Amino acid sequence: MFEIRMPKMGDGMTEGTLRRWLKQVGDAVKVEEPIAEIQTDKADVEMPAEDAGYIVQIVAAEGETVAVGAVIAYLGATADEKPVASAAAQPAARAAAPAGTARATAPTASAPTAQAAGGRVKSSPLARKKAGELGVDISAVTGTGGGVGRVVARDVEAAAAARTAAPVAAPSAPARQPSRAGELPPGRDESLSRMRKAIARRTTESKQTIPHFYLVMPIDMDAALDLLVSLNAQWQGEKITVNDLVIKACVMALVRHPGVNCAVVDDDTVRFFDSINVGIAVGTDDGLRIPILLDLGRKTLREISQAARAMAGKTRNGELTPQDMSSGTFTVSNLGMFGIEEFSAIISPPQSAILAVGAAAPEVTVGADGAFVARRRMRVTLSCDHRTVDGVLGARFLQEIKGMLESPLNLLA
Amino acid sequence: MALMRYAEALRLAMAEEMERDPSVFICGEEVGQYQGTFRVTEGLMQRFGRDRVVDTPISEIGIAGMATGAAMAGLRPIAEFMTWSFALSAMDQIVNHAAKITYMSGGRIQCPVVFRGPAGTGNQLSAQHSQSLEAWFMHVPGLKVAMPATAADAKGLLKYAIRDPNPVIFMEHAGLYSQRGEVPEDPDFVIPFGQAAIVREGTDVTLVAYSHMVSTCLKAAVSLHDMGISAEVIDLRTLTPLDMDTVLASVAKTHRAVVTQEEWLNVGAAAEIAARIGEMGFDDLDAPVLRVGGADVPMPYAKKLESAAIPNEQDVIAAALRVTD
Repeated sequence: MFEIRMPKMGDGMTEGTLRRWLKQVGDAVKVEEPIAEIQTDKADVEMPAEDAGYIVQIVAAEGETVAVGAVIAYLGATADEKPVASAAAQPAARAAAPAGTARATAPTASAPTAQAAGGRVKSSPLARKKAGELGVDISAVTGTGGGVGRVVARDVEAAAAARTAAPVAAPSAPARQPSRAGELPPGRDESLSRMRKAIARRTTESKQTIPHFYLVMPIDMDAALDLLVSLNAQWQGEKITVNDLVIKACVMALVRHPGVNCAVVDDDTVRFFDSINVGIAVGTDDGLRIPILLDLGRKTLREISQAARAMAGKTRNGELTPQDMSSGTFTVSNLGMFGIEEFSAIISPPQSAILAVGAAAPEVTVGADGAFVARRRMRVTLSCDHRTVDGVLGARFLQEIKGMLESPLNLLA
Repeated sequence: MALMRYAEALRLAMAEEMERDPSVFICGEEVGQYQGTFRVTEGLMQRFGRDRVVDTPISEIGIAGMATGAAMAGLRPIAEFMTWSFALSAMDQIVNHAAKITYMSGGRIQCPVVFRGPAGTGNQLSAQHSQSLEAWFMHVPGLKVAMPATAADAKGLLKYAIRDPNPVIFMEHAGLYSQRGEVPEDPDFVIPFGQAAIVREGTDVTLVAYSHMVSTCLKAAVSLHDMGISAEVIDLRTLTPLDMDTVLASVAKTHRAVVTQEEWLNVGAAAEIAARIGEMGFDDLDAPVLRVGGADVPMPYAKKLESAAIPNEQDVIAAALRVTD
């Protein structure tokens, strides 16, 4: 008898939704054979079996959201093996199901525990007051009081002390907003997808916790666009894009200015990343996705272009895995193809900066000889985390990008 | 200050007040010639005469009725019940007359009577003589209830009771009569009602007590200290009025409370005090408020059964350990 548990499929994944069972009770399963579709904050993923056998019991119902590590099914050696009702195997780590989703009836453990039926946590009034004051989530505290696992004041204080001792880079999620259903004009209510919720959570967290400032740099793109035409004529079957040039310029600027390729670890620490992993913000019908191009530090323009093209294909086909969207150290967001001249983007935590790229469009400018001349110019905006990147560093970083793109042969180095 | 027994302190209080105020007099069974069953009124008839220390027939309703009437007429009677268990036949006079006349007369008639006598449990006095009935009187508006735990408090509270213009239920503890303590000799020394005393300071749990349970809780606090638990002991002194300010301030510090009484646990004084802690100190509590009280049975005569029915130091320690677990 094997327990099949909710897998951890990427950084920061704490729970997953069981979208669909691909196997039913009684079905035979081979190693590596997909048995279920799991939806995470970032993607839908097929879950392969780690062991061969027969599905003898399904614990998590379709549509149910469960914590990473919780048992979702049992695999037996034969089709008629009886599941063992061991207390340790109870799905105690089950997370709250989304509203309106029917939940499978699950047996509950009878051992004394602070988690009563319905997820209510036994806690003393003082513990609750202290939890409010210290910002501790009381449902995440292990209770030790009264012989019944009640959360008492010392447990909350211990949890707060542990949090101080080991600070987490990502701040806790913002408090849930009260419903405005009554105040708004009438309309059709639709529940948010997990991805939309993740976008809402991460952008809110970013704007509320990262002190953003913005630097705009105009770049003369005539030479770069000319280079693009000749490269694409030469490299048959490949299509180098403006964005590929921008990414390559960013990578070279990040090599020169590693101070931008970093993240805040805690109040006392900043981490300078060993590799340069650039995310490309891609809008899809479902919402924003940021696939990551890994380890670009030594890659050529052509390699970067190929990697970007592969990721764009995966994104279009909905094949992105959580790994494809993990470990970014810098992000490029381009809305130039929509005619947007310039915009400022929200930093993707825990990164320190994001570059927003506008359209390269003809503009009348003053040429070297003082005469008016039409040039194709592009404006890029760097959003910086002021905790790690100061104005001068951001400006030098942008100067570097400008220099690379205005003398684009550098990008072929 | 003078070292004296609890019973002597009561006697001193009455003697001082009788000296100070000629309207004060004592009445009760065997209080004069016999000088009191527990010798509390010893020597007083000899000193103040038969008119001010009046031996009565064996009729509690008669004693209580006469004292209530005398108080309404302007005297300050101290009516002694040989034990509070005997006062049950006087309940109509106490509850329906003494407690209500000031209210029903619109304040024109006052009733400054003190009903006093031994209460509490123990000494193998069995079911009819060994019981603690303070909750019965706490329940009635118009009565004040005092239950001193020390010789000094016995004097200070009784003097205040005699001077108070309202009927006072003054419950002494037979088990404390022979306890000695330092007592102020100042004839102006009184202890106003409604002021609890913190008799031992602590930080981990508040033990609320009155009367004989104060010494029980102090012994428990010493044992708890050896177990690493710092107990604060509060002597309420009076149950009506009830000094919740002191109790709540202590609970705000310790976050845990055990309320103790000798009474039966069911609907006792501790239930009222625990409920008020819950109502007024909810956010300060880190554990449920526990009560320690007597077993809900008529008091057994057999020594071992009686010991099992009366709350002791071990019961208090067990409750304190539960709330600090």
